[in-house]
Amino acid sequence: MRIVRKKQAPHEGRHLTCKQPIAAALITTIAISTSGAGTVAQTATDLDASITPPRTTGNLTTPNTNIYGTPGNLIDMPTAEMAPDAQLSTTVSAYGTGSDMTTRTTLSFQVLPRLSASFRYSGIAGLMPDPGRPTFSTLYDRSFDIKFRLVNEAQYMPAIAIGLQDFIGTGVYGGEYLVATRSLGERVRVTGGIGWGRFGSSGAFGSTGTRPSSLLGEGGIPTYDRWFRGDVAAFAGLSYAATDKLSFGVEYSSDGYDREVRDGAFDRKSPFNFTASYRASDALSFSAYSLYGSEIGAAVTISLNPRSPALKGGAEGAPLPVAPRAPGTAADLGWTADSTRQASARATLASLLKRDGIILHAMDLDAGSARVQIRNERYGQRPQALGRTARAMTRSLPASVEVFSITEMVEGQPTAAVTFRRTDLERLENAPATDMLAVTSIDDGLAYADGMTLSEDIYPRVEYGIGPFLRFSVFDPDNPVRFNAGVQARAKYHFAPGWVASGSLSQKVLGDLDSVALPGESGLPRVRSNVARYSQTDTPTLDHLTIAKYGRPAKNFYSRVTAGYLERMYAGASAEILWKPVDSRLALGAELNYVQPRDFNQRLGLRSRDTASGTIPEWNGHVSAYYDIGHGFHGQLDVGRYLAGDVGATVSLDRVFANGWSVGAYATKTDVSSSTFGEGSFDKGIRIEIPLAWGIGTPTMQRSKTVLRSLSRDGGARLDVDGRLYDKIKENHAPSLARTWGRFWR
Amino acid sequence: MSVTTIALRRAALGLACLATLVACSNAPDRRVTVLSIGKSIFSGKKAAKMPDAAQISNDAAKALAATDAPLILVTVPNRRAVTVMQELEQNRGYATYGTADRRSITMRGGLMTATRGLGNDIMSSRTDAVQALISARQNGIAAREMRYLDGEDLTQVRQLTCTIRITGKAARDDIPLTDVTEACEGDGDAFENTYKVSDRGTIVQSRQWHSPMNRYLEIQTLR
Repeated sequence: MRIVRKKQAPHEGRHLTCKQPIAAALITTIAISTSGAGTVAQTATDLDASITPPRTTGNLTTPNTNIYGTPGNLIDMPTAEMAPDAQLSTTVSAYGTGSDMTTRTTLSFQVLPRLSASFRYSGIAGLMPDPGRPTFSTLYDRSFDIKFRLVNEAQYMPAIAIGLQDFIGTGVYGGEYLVATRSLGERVRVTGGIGWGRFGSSGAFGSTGTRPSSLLGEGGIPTYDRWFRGDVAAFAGLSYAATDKLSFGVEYSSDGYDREVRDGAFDRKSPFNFTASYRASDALSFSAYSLYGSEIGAAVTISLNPRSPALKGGAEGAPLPVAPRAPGTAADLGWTADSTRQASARATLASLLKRDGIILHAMDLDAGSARVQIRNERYGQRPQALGRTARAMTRSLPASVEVFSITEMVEGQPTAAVTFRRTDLERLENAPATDMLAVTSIDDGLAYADGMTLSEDIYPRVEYGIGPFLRFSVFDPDNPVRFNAGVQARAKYHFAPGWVASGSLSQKVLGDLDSVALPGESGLPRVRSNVARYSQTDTPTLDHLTIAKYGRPAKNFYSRVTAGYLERMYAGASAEILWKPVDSRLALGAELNYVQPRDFNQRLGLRSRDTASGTIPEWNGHVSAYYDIGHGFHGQLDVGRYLAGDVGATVSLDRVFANGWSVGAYATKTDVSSSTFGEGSFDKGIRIEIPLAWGIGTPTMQRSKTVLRSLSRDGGARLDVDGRLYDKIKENHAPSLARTWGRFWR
Repeated sequence: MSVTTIALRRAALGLACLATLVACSNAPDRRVTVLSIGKSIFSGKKAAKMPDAAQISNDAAKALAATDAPLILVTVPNRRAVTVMQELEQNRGYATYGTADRRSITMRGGLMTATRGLGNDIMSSRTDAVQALISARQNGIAAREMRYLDGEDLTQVRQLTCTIRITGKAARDDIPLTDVTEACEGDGDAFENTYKVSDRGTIVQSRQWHSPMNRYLEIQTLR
């Protein structure tokens, strides 16, 4: 089974360089492991979106993980413990030595205080393949776990959890359990439970039906036919936190390691396991294990929590305070006839903004009101850019100007316009930020865009960058990590409002992505599966070369047309339209693409659309619905025709944090059958976005994006065109502004 | 896969990360590096050396000579930092003091209500009730509210109940001063601020709670 960790080609815009840092940290651990004019102030819920809600703190939590990388203080056995809410941890564990080493690399996320989800990639040494399966010396397998807390610990009640381990796919580690954990004082926790599957394979005291062993589909779909069936056994354990950093655990395991023992890869001398864990910092911990009286193992865990940034509130410099007007000055209109004073007000504003990383894009000033358009190049939380702009306006504009409208420009087009009264800014500078939100109106910036005077030097302008690139393919069946590394140069030329010419050129320096094996015939045209051939060339490659036009065809509508060499594999044209009222939680979009496959050497040539298994269709496209569900959850549904001409839908769900973190998953099912699609049955993946400002404590719009997904199969594949509209504008709209409003006065 | 290949790969990964350090771009705000992130996640902050008394009075004298604006001397013992701040703006009873390196403190009647650029900043506060007791030099109990940004950048409101007590009398430069203590508790926080208040009700010197990260700030009015 395979998964690609796709480092998004650093095409672009706000997300230009440096996506690798945190991703690289995660991946390095894997490598080392080896082997309407409506105001937003309409409802109280909107107004309070930026206030920390009362949190139902789940009890009995632990930052530690077991040898399977799931939250818990034991070894092979689960507990009813949960990680702190939103914790994201990567655990790399191993036992055995040399070619007999079994490794497990697990990513666990605490989705909700009571729900934990894990993804694991394992290299299991010494297993014999099932008859009819390919031969191997180490079985590489991926697995998913979930654990749900049924009952929190109470005075007389232990915490109780139910869980499924490796519940999708081949189920090598498959097992289900019901477990209770109880704390005895501050330092000791005892656990007892019953399990099925692996957890029922030693010392069974009963059974519930028969557990089937055949595979559903081509793997990759839930093994619901096995859950809670077959032999049942009991397990137990105890953990002791000797200090805040050092803890110990012992367990009686009900996992018989049947298959490992049968294949002679494991000697299970005793049912008892032991562990010692040392927590070096909040982010880093180490564990050592004694397993079944015969093996020793070790693990390292890196934990990140979106709620634990480098520095709460950030370290950036103070904004300038509001400059209140002296009484009576607002009546002075002398400046309106004085073009020098107007020009000087504008120059002062532009220089104050520039100091804060904000570009004055355009402006219009009259006796009572000022409209400005800005380009925010620094603040991930948009209200911070708005707040700094508003304060700079109080310090630069004549006293008679009472109404300030600020529109943030994205790709040369207006997004939301936020309107303040200067009196309110003066009055509420030291009040709670939500007081200011209550008197702020948020409209479509298109209505405010007429008659603006563009600043000089806005067009044309060039952005360029040169830096390293890394592309990864991990979790391949015969090689856990492959990569290409090299140098990439890129440039963007903004030559008129909404127009962007953009290109990227890279040169591979070293790497072995070209040796990724071609999967067998799938019955679909090869639209993605020959990825290795695109990595073979040693000459410079053109990653993309496009011209794009962003527009605002009407109120609430956004548009994009992109043409040229769209991505590494396809050239053509892509058109997109998005409907998104500024105060709406719902957005609807449509995208239509015309494509021609590019030559494998990724220069200017195209190749035939015919492949051995079919012809690549010229047209593909989607209709999409996006919805901000609330409580930090965002959903997306795309329905349409995919690259290979297959028809289907992609469902995505992300947990999005106000500080810009996002952790989510998606799944695509199209009308190709599991057998046509091949191993994995359908496309699915996990995506994590980390704002770098969170890691360094100073504002920047850079983000690290990581996608873990099934390796380039042909079913459910989409065009990788840059600049999709929803992600470009959603942060500027009312629901997101209301949630991040706490930084308005920052 | 041979051992050499693995070693080579690790070296390559390291190199690629290092290369990020020298990546260049004219695009705005794209200077974040692996090192800066690693440092902030995995290591603590280094403690600076506390400036000595002579240096502090020297700095204060320089600042006094350089401007006619009101000045305060701010010490952050937890971070061994001392700085002179100059008044930048007055707005409806709130005075904002700042430094050239963009740190600021906003005060109302001598009580710190907001800060910027210090880290773990107070975003805003409601201090009118405690301030009335402190400047009147009266014993009593009053409410105080302080707002911070939490780790997710949401606004965390701390509601505190504060007990104000007169604890003594002192004098500085022949001005009689009253020592006032404000002990606050609530929402898991507990701290004790101390003030030296003149007969006119002005706070001339104080030690006030800032945040878990910076702990107390010592503020002295220079002019």
